[in-house]
Amino acid sequence: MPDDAEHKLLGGMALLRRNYVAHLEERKGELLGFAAIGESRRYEDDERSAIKDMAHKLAGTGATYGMPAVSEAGRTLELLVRRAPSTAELELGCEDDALLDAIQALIAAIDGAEDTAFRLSNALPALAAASNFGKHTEAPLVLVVDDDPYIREVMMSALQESARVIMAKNSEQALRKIADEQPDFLLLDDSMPGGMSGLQLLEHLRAMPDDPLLGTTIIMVTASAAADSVRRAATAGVTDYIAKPFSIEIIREKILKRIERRRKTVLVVDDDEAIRAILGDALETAGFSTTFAEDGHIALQRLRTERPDLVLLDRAIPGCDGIAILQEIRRSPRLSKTPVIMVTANRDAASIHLARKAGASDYCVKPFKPQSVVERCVRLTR
Amino acid sequence: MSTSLQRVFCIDDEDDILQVLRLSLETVGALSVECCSDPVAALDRVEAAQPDVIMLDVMMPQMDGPETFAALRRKTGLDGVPIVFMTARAQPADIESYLGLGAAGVITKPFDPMTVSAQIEEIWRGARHAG
Repeated sequence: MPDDAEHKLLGGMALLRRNYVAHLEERKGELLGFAAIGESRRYEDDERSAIKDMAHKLAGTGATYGMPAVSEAGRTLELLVRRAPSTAELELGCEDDALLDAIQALIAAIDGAEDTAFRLSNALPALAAASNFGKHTEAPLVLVVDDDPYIREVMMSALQESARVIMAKNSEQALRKIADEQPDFLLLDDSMPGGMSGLQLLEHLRAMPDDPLLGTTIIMVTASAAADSVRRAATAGVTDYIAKPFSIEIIREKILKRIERRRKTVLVVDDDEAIRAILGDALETAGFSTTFAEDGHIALQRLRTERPDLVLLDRAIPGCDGIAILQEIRRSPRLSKTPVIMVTANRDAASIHLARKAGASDYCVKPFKPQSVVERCVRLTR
Repeated sequence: MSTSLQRVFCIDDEDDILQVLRLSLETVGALSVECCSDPVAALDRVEAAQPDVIMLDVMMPQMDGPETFAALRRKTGLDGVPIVFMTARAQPADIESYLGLGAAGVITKPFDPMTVSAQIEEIWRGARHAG
């Protein structure tokens, strides 16, 4: 396959994957509905048939979109819903238990796949890079890693008007500068003599427990766009892949376009001060600006005067039920489209389903990992 | 019949599948692709499209794959055009039965967008030799 065809396919797949993730999100909502039903009673025939159709579709598409776990879980569910229950199961009245487990496993697979797809599409670093620099200084920080002094020189002169540019000539220097400076953009040459290649450097950094490249937009510059390295680069979170010889104008445009994006605001509604602080820090680090409300009354007041890009809403807050606030938001023409993530302490499908029915765009169950909440915020505000 | 594979007509009720197929066949296979998500509408359009090969989903709500297959086979304008089934239910017995109907080949879902156009081309070549 010619390199440019492969390149186009990868770029196109990244776009299609976005649509697919949106469809997964809808289907997850339906699956949650089915899980809620399964917790309270046996499935009717038409419900079984709807579950079967959905499982079949997910089985047939997941791996095509790079989400094999979705295909596998879909396949398991499809097989289960097609088979006749055993006599023992019928006697015990638990013929739907395995089905319910498989539905929940599929929901979990979708959750996991969404997070993976999200990292692949690398929207978080792009957003963060675009917004982070504004907090500290006027110009974004670009780290150019290339062993060729001529290329470093060209990059410097092309970018210095719109960015602060720092340099590294090998992987060792690059590692140090990435850790010390946390650049907004990384322009990385793949082939460098001695030490690690650009790709190895990325994979090394991505494997670290506290990924120092979180929030960095990575543009890989390479002499050869071989199929395998393009795939590995995509997996390592490379946003753009540029083959040599490249036009410096293209790189400049790519960076400038990303800088134009605005910072987005999240309203965090939670009565627990510690949770507000944790979420606030994580969101700020990812480039969001934040506002807070400690109860329902203050939340509604803020929503009357502010227009956040997203609301993180605790279900159990003093003053009123989170669901009531959510309904209020959905009733307001000004806010009806604002994404709301419901934070709940209840893991049961019924209460999650209730939140979604009331119009929640997504939900997080406490205790949560701040990073996964941030990823959901980025996904919904993109 | 063309001497090289050029035009592919795809029938599947799912846009998630059609979009990847189109992208993959156009960019990797350099093929011209027409898609239709409704088998009934596809029957009206397919002859005018003059495809070299037809890709057909098995499980569709409006009209299933084997039924659509039979209707396609009745169209004289499509004589000798290979039809390839796409299915997520690919037990050996299922594949046998599709081939028994006269399908040129079966592509299992989920497919790999990197290689699916090569798979289709291979089936198309095989069908030309056989035909």
